[in-house]
Amino acid sequence: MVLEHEHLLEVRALHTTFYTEKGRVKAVEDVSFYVDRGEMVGLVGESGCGKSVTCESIMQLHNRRITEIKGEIFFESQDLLKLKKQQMRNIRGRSISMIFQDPMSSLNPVYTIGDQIVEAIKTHRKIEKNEAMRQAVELLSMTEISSPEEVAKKYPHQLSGGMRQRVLIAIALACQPRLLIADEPTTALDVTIQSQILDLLVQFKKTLDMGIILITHDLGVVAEVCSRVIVMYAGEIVEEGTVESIFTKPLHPYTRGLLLAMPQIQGDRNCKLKVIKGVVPSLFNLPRGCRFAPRCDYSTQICAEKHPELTALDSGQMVRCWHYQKLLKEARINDSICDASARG
Amino acid sequence: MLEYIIKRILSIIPILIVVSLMVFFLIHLTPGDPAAVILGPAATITALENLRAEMGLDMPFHEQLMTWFSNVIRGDLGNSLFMKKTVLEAFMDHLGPTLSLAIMGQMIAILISIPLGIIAANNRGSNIDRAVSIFSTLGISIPNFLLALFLVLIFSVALSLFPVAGYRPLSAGLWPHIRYLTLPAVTLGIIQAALLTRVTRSSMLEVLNNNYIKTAYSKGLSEWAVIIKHAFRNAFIPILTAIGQSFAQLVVGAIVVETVFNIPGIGQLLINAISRRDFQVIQGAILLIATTFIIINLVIDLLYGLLDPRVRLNRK
Repeated sequence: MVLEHEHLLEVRALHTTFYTEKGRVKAVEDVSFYVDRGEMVGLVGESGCGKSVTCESIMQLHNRRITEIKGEIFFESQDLLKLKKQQMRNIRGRSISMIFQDPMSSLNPVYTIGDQIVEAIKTHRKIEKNEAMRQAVELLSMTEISSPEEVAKKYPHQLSGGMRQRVLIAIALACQPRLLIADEPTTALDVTIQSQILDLLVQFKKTLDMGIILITHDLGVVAEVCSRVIVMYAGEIVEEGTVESIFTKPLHPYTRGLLLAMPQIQGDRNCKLKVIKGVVPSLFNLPRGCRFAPRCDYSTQICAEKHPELTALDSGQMVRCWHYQKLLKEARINDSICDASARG
Repeated sequence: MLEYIIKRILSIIPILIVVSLMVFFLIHLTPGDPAAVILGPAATITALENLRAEMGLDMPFHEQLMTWFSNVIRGDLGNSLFMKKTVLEAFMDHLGPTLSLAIMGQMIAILISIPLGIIAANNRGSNIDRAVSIFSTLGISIPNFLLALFLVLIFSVALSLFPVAGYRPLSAGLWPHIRYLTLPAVTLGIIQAALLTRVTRSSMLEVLNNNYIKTAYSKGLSEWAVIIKHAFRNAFIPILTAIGQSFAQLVVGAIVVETVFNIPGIGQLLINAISRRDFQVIQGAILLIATTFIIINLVIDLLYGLLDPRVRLNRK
């Protein structure tokens, strides 16, 4: 049965647990979200909050012996977690691709660029090596790399970081996937290269009608290219909504903290950046109540005792906080102040 | 690449010079008079002095050194004091068995260690991994002569599968050659394998942590394609170094194993030469072994260039 409003990807109650030598780590707990075709969704949070683990769970890239993935991951209405190894291999690289954070170490140093792209093509399609190489060069030129024929003959160590990231994008797009997971694709790059890479992703999203999950800790990037944002903290989703709603009225103190920690161009430059005090709790030893409570300015008795549920608001925004109404009120006041100052 | 090769080849010349000097000093600074050994305890002082003069042992130290050195450069390693042969002839006579033994031993070692190391690394922390590490610890700690004797007890004495000792040259037929060499080669191979398994495992573990392994998996490749094509190809570079270095170990091992199995190889030549104070043979043999070792390592250095484009294209 195919539903009319079927999402490209729908993750339901995903739990990813690692069994390490130090004990059990619940890296991702009860995470649910969806991605549609032609949509770019930002997955935001500090390092160690579970955003990469979530995406690697979708791809099932973890060592199966020490990892337990529970929940449902529907991709084009089939549950990826129920697939056999072989079936999952057919999805990886063909229907869902991934770009990794560090372009410097994500390419195999002993094979040429061309060979590495050809491998991505030939894994899923039975075509001649020459034809695959021709397509590889074409993919490279799609990523706006200069002199693609020569680059195809080079080895990774002969290319710059930005060029390597383009190569990784070419590999990811080799089979025209329907879903692209980009794990901090611009973190390791120069600012000018960053925006070029983001532009490429936006462009491919349109031309290939791809869904993209953009993992990042940079809210500026999210504001630029995403339509929806999911904010994660300590292995769970704390807030979700459209870019507009999250940026204008963040309802979770953590999201607010992230926004305030962004440097502003306008306004008082002498004032210090607001930082979120404290550090992310260890996943081995999570607070009993709200996981953000020890770092939160709004924290009260209930926050320390009871774990809040993810609450959906009428606007579609979702938030996991006992005090979101307080923040909502404050946001309205801010709005009116802004409106007033705008009028004045 | 050509420049790299030439540079590597030129770099072995100073090493060879240093090695030959060290060999000379080592022998001449150790006590023991070959003339006395040859003539026995009843020799007269005149006879001793005559013989010393004949052998050039009465010359000043630096002259002896110069003579030996200039001879070595011309490829003349001198004559054995006891055998009616040149050192080179004696060495060549004994080279065959040792070469066969070393090659067979190393092949057994590689065939055991590389699959074991890969499997252990890929199943890190599992029971397989633990079993492999027990094997390699045992292999490293067991003395080679003991292992040799155990193997003889089991496979020769109890099961009568292989001969207890001895050697048949290749000219006597391939099968007898291999049959006689099997137990000695297995002895050497297991000990080498223990070492190489560790290297393979740790090298694979390091490579498997790399991001390009994740990239390879995310392309949809099968586990074995990733392990062999992406991980092992990179992990093999340090493994190759270890294989090269283990040849030195192999020669040392071969000396003991040749004695246990009574194989007329370089080991036996050296042991006999040492017990008879046959300076010329000791010097020559050590120099030739060192040279072989240096050449093996040179070949491995050149293989690096083939395996790793970063070596091939960056070093000029």
